[in-house]
Amino acid sequence: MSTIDKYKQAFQEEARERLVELEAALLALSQTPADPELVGSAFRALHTIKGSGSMFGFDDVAAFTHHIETAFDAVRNGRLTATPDLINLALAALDHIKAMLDQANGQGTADPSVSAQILAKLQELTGTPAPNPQEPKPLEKDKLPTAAANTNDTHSQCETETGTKTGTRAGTRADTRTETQTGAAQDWHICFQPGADLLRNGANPLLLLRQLRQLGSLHLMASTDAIPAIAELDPDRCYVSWDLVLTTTATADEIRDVFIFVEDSCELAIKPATPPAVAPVAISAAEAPAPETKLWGRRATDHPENAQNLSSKPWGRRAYDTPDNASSIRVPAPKLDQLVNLVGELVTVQARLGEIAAGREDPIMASVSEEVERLTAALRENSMSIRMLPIRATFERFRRLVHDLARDLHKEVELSTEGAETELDKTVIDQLGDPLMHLIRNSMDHGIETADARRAAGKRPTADLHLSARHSGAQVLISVADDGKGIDREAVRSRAMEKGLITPEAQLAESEIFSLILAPGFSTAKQITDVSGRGVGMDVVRRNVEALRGHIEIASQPG
Amino acid sequence: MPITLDRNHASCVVRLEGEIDICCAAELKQALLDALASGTGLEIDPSHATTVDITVIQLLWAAHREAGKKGVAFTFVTPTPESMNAAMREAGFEKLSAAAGPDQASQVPALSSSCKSEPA
Repeated sequence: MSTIDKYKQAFQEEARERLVELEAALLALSQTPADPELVGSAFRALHTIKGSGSMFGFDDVAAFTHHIETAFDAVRNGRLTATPDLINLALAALDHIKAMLDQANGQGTADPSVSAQILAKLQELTGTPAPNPQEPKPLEKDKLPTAAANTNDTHSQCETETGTKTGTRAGTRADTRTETQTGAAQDWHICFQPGADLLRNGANPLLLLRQLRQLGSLHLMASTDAIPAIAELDPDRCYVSWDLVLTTTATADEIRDVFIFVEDSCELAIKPATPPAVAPVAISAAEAPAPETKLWGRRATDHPENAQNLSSKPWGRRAYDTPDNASSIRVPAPKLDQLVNLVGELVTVQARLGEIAAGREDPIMASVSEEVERLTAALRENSMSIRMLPIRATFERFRRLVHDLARDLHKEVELSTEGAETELDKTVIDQLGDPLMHLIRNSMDHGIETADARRAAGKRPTADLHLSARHSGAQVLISVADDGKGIDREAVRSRAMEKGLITPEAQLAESEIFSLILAPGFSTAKQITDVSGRGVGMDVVRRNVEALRGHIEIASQPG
Repeated sequence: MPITLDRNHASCVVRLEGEIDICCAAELKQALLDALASGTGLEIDPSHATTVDITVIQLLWAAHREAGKKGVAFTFVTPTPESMNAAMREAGFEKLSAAAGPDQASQVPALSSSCKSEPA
């Protein structure tokens, strides 16, 4: 895999993590649509996917995400409401982005008609002109944006989305924010010096500059001081650095977002431009200082004040000056599997060594054998612990399932979780997904009633579905509980007799009767739905859990 | 081949074709070095280049500076593609871009340590 491919892969992984965040924010928004933190979280996830997608050549992802991001920017600025329809559409868009990422990975195909349908629906919901799924692409349309072009874009969007004209200044950000909401445009002085590995990491400084231009009016000065003689020039390294003045309504954090994937491989300083720094921009080219003065060409660190500020937060950061304090690293799962396999082989060899040492009555060999045994045990424990993951991600994944099923079944369901920090081996986590999904689907389809039925039964219209995990001795106890109508004991018993699973005379404990629902093909459902009812799911649950050397217990009482 | 070097008695022509980026930067560097070593004028023909990145721009800049030191001509075959002009303008290499423009004399202006670009 080439270096660029590796970083494209890194983008894929990062983008999928952002999609998880986006999904969590959208699902939480469906409960509290006015929460600005959640809206901001959704917007930031979309913004990052768009920006980094553009940077790593995922233009279709960036173009599509741009439109959804624009809608959430309107929500962020109070010009649009996060209605259930918009949230559901954003969830569909999220699925489509996943499909596009999968397609780029050579897995499956992202149907372009889905993209068009989502964007057409988005147009209906936001009242914006119909965006073309391919054009305009967020970066390509603004290869050389002008202040006027930006102003026009902003203006038309504000008019169509709000029905009122909201003027913006020339040179302000090419998005939909307004002065009254975000304040006047400000000049920012940005010093950007790519590090030695920036290009090798797959980043493209020109795309970063284009992204900055999307935020507002950009004046730049490229410094060529560091470009060596051509014979000594490393062609894979960027020697050019830039001093920039950006006039924008964007905040320092939003500007920093542009550099989110390269911050660790560049020197970057962003600070409000002081009058002396702005002054050269205003003068004409003829009046510009001679190159020898290098007012714009010099590095920010040449100036004592800048040198001081560069190393101080919040506006400045010098990646090279700070120690590598990453608290975690990303390791491909197959490497962990290989590590565990090797440790397994080591344990076998260590056992043989122990046997040989025991038979030789050699105190030195016995001592070495004991030391190897101790280290092997520690290594085994350590390598196994590396594979332990909290079950949180699995639990969170089901929020979407519950949301979608509740919508499809016209039921009101609230998912709560407990013990999400409980750790299990990665393999177990991977294999728990299907059984838990089947349990949740059955619970929502058969156990939980409609809101009307619940009201009639004197219950809260919104049902509770509770997922929990906790350690129980050497095992982990995972439970799925709901406050629905419960399992009909007699219906299970009579259905089991019909299927010949039990005889009419059989005396079964309650738990044994409930366990019958785990039999292959068993279902008490009177009709088969899209969700469940074929009697396949619970059998799958039992087999999968048993494959993990686990077992299932079922308890129920009429509710 | 995205990069080819043609030698004739008066100059060496480095032709760029298609996407010229970091993937072929080493090849471009060698072509430029070979052309400069010939002692004749150096002509860059980017008419069939579709995209260029910063690695190309800084190599052309370094070659142009080297040509100035050696006293040999450094010229662009015009017209240069707009995509190339745009990339140079976006990167702040206005002078190199201006030299590459169709209405400009092909000789690159005097060197400076920095280039300035402002919004259109």
